[in-house]
Amino acid sequence: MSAWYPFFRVIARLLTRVLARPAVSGRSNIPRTGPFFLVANHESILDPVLVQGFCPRAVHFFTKSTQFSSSAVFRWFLPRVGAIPARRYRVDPQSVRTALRMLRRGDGVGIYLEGERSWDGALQPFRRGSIRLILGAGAPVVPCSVSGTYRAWPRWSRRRWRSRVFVRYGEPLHFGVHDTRAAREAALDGTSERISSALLSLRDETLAD
Amino acid sequence: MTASGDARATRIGARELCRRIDAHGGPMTRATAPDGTIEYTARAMVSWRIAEDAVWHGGVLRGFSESMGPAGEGAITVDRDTVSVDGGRTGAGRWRHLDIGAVQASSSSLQLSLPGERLVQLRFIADSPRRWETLMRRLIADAWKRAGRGRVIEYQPRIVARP
Repeated sequence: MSAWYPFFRVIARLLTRVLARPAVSGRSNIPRTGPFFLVANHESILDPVLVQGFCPRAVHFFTKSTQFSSSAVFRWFLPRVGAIPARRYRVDPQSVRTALRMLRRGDGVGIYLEGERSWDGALQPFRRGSIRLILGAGAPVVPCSVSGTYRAWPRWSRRRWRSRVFVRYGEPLHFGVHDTRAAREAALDGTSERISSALLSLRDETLAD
Repeated sequence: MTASGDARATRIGARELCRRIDAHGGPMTRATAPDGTIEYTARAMVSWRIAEDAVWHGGVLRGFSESMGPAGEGAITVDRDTVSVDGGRTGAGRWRHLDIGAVQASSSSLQLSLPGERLVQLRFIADSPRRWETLMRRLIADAWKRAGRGRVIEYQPRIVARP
């Protein structure tokens, strides 16, 4: 991972502590060593700053490819915070290859399984290709629930609002390696449901606290 | 609900709000084609993908990102079977819904994957990318169903249907 990563993580923590007073829990659920997937719900543009900023290990997150070409600043910045460009308008084998390479190195790979920010704050159906990647790689999956960011800065708003935000990392889920296409297809729906349930449970726990 | 008019806010019910929206032409900009069928149209800034750039970091290829060409003011029009994009000087075309490869909203834009590896991006001038994404998905799902291709379950990175 880039030498810039720890620096930007400190900046992210400072900024969010000043702006949103985030409540973070479950960081001990991130594996101390070895590859893992970090999967989070996606409510707002603030989510990556929080999810990566407070994760104790560096994570390479899938990021929409259009973000890389949006400005020279992003083109410089995004690879240095571990972003993997993913073309969402076509099947993108290169992004999968990059993610698998990172996992083989023992790194964490982050995915917003919904594929895009929610328009209404509700959890959306997951992208099937991302679930296939999880099943093919077989690394443990750490669910991460982010709450309050939709209220703080929803997708449809140009304005940011004051709202308390919560980040909760859950216990790793293990699905094992599914090395045949048939095995992955058979496990697809069940895996989606388990991850979705885990994310919703974490959100419920946050609301109950 | 609150509606503003004549420089003051008034409270109206959801039913009345729907009636007023219909009175203004429905929830989306609508027009009637010469044959009497309904079309939807909206003004947008239209741009087309002109290249794909490799993203390298630390000597490793991380992936690819697209470069979009300059945006030109134009319009998108859809009917039951086709979508037309007129990007003014940037280009134009008309495609069957059955030929569209993917539909997605990206930030405040709508992106359509078109035949021939083409990608068009529309930033709406006075309309919602969310509504257009929903409309396009509905039209594509209907077209696929009519063509016997099954029920569409995914619209990106490619359209996938189940029997």
